[in-house]
Amino acid sequence: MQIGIIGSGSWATAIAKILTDNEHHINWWIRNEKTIPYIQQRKHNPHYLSNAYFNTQLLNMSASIQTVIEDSDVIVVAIPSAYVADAFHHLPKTIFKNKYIISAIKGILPHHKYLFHEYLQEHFQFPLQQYFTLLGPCHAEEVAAEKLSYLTFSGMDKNVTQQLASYFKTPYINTETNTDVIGVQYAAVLKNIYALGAGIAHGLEYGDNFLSVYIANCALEMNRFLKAITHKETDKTDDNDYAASVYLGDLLVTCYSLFSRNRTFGNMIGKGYSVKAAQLELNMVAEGYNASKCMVFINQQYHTALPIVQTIYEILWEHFPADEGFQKIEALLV
Amino acid sequence: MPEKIAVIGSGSWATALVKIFSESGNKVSWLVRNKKQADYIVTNKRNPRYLSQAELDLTFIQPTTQPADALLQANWVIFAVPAAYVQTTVQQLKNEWMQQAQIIVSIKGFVPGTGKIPGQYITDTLHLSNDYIVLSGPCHAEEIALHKYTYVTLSGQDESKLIQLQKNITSPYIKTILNNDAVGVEYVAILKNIIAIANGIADSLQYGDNFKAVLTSNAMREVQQIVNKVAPQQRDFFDSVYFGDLLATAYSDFSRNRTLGKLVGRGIQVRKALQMMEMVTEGYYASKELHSILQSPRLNVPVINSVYRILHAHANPYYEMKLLEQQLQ
Repeated sequence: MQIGIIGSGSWATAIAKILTDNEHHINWWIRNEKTIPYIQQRKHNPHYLSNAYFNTQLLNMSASIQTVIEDSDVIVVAIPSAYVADAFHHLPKTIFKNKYIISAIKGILPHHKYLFHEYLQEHFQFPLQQYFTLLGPCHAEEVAAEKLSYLTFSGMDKNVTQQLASYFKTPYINTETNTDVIGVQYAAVLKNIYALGAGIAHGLEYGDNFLSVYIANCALEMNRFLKAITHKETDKTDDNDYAASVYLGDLLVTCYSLFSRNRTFGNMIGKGYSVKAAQLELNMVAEGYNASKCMVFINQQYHTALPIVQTIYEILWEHFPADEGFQKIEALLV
Repeated sequence: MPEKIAVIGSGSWATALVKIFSESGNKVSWLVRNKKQADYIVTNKRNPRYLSQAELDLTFIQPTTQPADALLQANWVIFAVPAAYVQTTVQQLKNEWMQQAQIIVSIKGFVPGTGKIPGQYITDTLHLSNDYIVLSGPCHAEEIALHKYTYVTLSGQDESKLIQLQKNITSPYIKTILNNDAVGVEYVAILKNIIAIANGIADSLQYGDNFKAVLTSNAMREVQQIVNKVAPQQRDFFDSVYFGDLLATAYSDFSRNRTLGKLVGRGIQVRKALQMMEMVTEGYYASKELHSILQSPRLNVPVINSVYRILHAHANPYYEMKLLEQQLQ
């Protein structure tokens, strides 16, 4: 199967490295045309994860997203959720017919307030059976350094999921599979919000003692939400193992790691920066920021108690003072 | 009438407890190891060797080296010695000194050579009839010295006793949580130290955050299996008393168990690494004591087994972790 990668940020670059280390030829959509000759000549991405080097003979780069998709059977999408609609809206409606999509997107599409598979369903009538996710506790930086990481592939069809996962198995990547393709996406969204909160707590000078209680409670809240959606979407009680790395491991790495952008962003909020100032200073938007708003919106149909998410939302979007917000959270934690 | 609380032990954690209870206005009699230490505390208002950054209010604290004095008329007796010293500590004590007192155990580790958790060992050996209370984290003593906001869990069967004890803790930076699973909490407090060693070993072998997150979430599952086997009961392991405690130890740089793991992972002999540590590392002994419990064929606990082989069976940390990689999910 021919694999295509959509995106050229850190995570897309890490995925390109994993696949080419496995000797797969890849089609690679790179939005900025000038980057392509640079990678061809210098064998690394100038802007992101620039310490990962490529065997350029395996790369077929293009600035046309349509060409890359048309030429590929399996499309790995790794662009920030906020840019998905911009990148995809002009594509022909039938372009994904009979293709597999692997989503490595960690977030909700902010304008539509829904997940990527829902966007694909609405705009391309793309069936959930052909949709897979690639998630798990994995910093792109560590992939570049070839530190052992575990990736989880989720999809409704076990066999296809396993086959897709096998393309990614390298000496530094172990792969896992499960069938909870919707739950894992929500877990990935929620963890960014919680990590942002961990950053705020750190900025407010709470210590490790508090942080550990906070994160344990985040895990509880996340499980509660995932159980609620599994119940509603599949109408059966779920038997998902929420201690698995794709749920809990990912939450831990995002909340505890100093590489995490959400945590860095939260830290500034905790120190008293406004959201706008923090964005300017860091030159990026932390995913947890938009995600908090979207989750509060989405939860309106599930009515699960998400007090931690709700409070972080109020701090970020409704000018609720961070220290008072965390006093509220203190009182909630068990 | 203020309650009298006896604290047995003079390490960092015991010092933190003395600080909390004395600040809350209780009379604290503090059983320390030697006269020199007791004198130092009286003169300098701090413990000379452990948690010496915490200033103590001597109006409410009476350091002593005489067990009988310390326990006389105490309403509460808190055991906060390292697990390795439980046996020698209990030998000095007499049952009749504690007839009126409620026992509180705040010890993390098995009593060496007995395979018993400290609460059971103490009540059995001293023939105490009433249930004991377990006081646990998640907390680092160091953060208490800094007045960082901290959760303390009180576990026991008798809820009215727990509420009474809770009222004796009024430090503004402490929040107390009540729970009825004393045995489960004690086991988690033991197991988490082993997990912290595993994380330390992974640190030294240059594994990254990605791997350690997987290691910790797998370890969490092992803890569930073991505790549910030794003390079957309905419990939610994501409660902070279980999972939070595990996290505070597994992820924090303050943890001495993690430091031991780092030394061993770097290739330093276990025996030498233990000597280099000034404090007792509970996880080392716990790993040994636990081994016999784990022989049951239905337990699948690769992380805990790996730590055992590295610490007690001369396994090479590098190869042991390579093998472990394949067993994690």
